[in-house]
Amino acid sequence: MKTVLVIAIVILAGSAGDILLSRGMKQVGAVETLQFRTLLAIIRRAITNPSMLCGIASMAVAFFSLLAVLSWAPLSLVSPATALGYVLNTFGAKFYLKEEIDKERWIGTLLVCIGAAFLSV
Amino acid sequence: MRLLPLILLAILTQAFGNVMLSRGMKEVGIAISADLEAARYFSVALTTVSNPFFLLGLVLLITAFLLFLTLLSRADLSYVVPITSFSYVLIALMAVHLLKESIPLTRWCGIVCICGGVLLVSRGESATASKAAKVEAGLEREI
Repeated sequence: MKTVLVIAIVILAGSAGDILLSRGMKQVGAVETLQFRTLLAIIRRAITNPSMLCGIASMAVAFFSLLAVLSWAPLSLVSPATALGYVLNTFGAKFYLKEEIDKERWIGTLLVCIGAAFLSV
Repeated sequence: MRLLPLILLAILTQAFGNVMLSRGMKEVGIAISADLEAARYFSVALTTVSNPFFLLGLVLLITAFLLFLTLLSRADLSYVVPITSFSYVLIALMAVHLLKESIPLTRWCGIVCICGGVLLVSRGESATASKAAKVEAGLEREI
């Protein structure tokens, strides 16, 4: 039970982190140049953007929860379970970020999810 | 810069970073078990951060994360995340050569699934915004 709960936190916090970082980077603006001054301005906006900071904090929670659960649960259980994050990410992208996801992308994401689970068994 | 080179670079740095980190940490493990005294206090950290493979892996993974953020600034999350998962395939293939691991059948199944998934996702539009713009442009032409 404890294992399931912590794995759920790993997946949820990881996806929340991805979604918040995605939202943050879209607010910060497209990185399209290697010009030093422009990049510096982008970095300054990124590290002061609330979504970015929440995203990074969320990623940190996911990472430390992962370390915690790995200290007692086998990697061959934890690692395939975290592949569910791909599906959760796509749901978040659709409903929170309002991205358009066609059937092809859904099937592709599911395949990647299954593949990642297989790879980590 | 166009999107494709960035995607390839993100995948490569992610994969190489993980392989280097794994190799470095294995060396650290051997060094620590060879000298138990070294496993105490700061010695573990010192052994780790002085390992060139660990350092290279760390730099590559930081680069991979920055590239991931750059991609997110321009493309959909639902596009970037599945596409960059191709690094798993590279890691699995590199693990055979560099880390002398073997690939069991289940892993081959995983590799095939991911390749298929990446192929499907990559056929779509990379950003919802650009798709909307194209639809709008198409409508204007019709009018």
